[in-house]
Amino acid sequence: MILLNSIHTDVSMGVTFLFLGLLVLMVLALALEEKIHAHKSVITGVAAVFALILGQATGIFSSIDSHGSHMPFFVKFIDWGVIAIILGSSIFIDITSKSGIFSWLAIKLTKMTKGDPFKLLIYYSIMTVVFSALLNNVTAMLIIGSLTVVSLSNLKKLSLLLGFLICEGLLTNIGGLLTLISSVPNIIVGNTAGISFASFFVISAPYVLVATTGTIFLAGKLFKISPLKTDQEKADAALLITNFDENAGVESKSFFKLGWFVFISFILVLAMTDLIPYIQDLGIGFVAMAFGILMMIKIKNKTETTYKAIDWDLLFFFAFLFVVIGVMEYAQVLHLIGGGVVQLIDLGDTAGPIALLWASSIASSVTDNIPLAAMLAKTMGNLPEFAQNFWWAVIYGANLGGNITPIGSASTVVAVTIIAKNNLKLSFVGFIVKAVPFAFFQLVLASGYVYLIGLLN
Amino acid sequence: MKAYENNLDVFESIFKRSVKHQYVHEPFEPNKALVIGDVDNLAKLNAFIGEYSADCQSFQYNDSFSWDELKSKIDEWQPDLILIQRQLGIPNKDLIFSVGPILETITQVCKMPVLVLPDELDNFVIDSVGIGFDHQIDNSLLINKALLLKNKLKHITLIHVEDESIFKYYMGAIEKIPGINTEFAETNIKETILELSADFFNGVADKLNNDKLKTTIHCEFGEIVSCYEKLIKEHNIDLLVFEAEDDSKMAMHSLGHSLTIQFPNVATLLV
Repeated sequence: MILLNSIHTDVSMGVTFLFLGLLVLMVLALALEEKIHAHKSVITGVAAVFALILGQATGIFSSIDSHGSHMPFFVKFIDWGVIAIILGSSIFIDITSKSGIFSWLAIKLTKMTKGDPFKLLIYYSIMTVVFSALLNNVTAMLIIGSLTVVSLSNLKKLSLLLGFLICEGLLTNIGGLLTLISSVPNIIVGNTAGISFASFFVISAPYVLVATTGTIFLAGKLFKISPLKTDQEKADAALLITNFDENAGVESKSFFKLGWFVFISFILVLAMTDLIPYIQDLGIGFVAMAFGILMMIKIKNKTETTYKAIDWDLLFFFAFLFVVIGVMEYAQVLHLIGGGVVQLIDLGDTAGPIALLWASSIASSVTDNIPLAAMLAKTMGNLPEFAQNFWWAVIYGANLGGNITPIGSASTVVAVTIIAKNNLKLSFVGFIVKAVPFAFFQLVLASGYVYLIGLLN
Repeated sequence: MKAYENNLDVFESIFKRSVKHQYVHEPFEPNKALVIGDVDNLAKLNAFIGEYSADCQSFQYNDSFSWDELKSKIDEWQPDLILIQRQLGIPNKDLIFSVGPILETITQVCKMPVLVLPDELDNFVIDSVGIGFDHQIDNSLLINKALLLKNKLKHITLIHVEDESIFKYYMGAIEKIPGINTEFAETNIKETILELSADFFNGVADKLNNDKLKTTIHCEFGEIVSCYEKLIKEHNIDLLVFEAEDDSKMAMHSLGHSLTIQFPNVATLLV
């Protein structure tokens, strides 16, 4: 039996349940974000305000000693490392994408398919995974989703659009498993578990490869996306695809070259962060911020467009969420949740991680996977030693759960937005019916893989 | 609007901009031509079209004209080109703002190109053609059909004139929307609209120049009639080629119909 370590305060069960109620309300509001027409940051912001006031009123912060510090104690709840990674990456990706490298690559690969729908599915799927891994899930879905709409429209194959967009939406969460910075749950859990960028990639890459291949072939079968058959069809498609000009998005050749150079450097430095003197102590957050700031030299007098493009809602959402989680720790709510996690861990090194994986995936399918990952990371961080594959169970569960429902992850929300924008009918249940075979395949595969990680460790 | 919705729009714009429609050359020959005119004009019309088409048939208009009879002839013979006398069927030729009920009906009902010649045909030769585009810029068919009469053709002018008054009307609305920078919108919309036609026209010019046809490109915002008037003079245009129907398929509302009426001394091919 594992015993829980956490902040020890004298908190009554009633107070803990009061805060648990607040947390449940916040999670419900996040799940119903679209219905209540409130942005994430507002929901977590309101929850943070109430949690802090309630915390002061119930005296749960009495053990905090703020003497000699000018910084309010709740500001210290925020994981600034995570904020730095997200902010730095956003700035970096926004400026780099203006160089045209991503659109150039996407169009170049589109032309290589010669307009064959099945080849397009393969190329776009691989691009989705790679872009999700190197940029982030949402940016990957934005690039590949919008390209898919334009290319299928140009090829007069819009009847295939729904299948393409669902497949791409689901693959963003597979690509999101490839590197430590590919998705927010990876960043949060990976940071807490002390997994380096390089080891994350080495462990996760085989799973991503198999899951991607399986998903592509399943999509081809279920959405009836097949290769062109006759020579005439091939010739017509090849002619239409030549309409694309990969250089249309490249406004300056020097910026384009710089974009490639800096982007490749960014990936290399991230991969070798643990090996580079000085940088290894500053961490991935510093690398992301440093590259973001260096790229700003290129737009030194036009920074306002980049500041405008930053997802401030997401950043404030994180900041407030960390405050809420910090309060929940003092209110012993994490200790309570930890009890549930401990029960799963107690199932043993075989059944435990698999149970944790499925539990986290189901939880993250109905609400945002970020609070889930943050909560579990914080809770598990307080637990004594347990097998490494439990961390991977949370990472895989939190990411793959996003593939069960249209609200399970930010990138599937983007996919559904593109679907709606193109007047394609797809209800909430309709999405689940189409996505479940994929999610089931990916989760079964992940279960086996997490078990394998346990065996190898 | 969420940040990602704004970015989605940015990427969609980049990819839409990267699609550059290319000219697809497909040759058409006026193997069979049907000439429709009255007893005074039929002979000269036949003489003119004989230079382009090997197989010509005539339909003479008279007081006992029957549309059903003409329609049956067109349906049965399926000509590649119909040549019709301007204002045919109008008893009073002073009604200058009509091209004639038969021509108007044929362009709406039949799919084949319809050629209308000026009244004065002495020494009339088609060696300079102006092809006028409306909002369907990537219209390869319009160019291919314009090349039906290429025997003596030397010069082609590809024309896209965007109506400045309509643009100003939309800009008036944009000026009243605080979220849109008016100057930015005006410059960018103008540039993008003209770039769309210029991109396609450049591809056409490359192909036609290879075929030894001098090709001039003309894309601008302006007053449509005066711009065409200027271009007709500047390039000595003998034949203007247009779509017969407008975008919404409204009868007689196409650019072609208006300009056929406006320039009676220039031949028109309505495709």
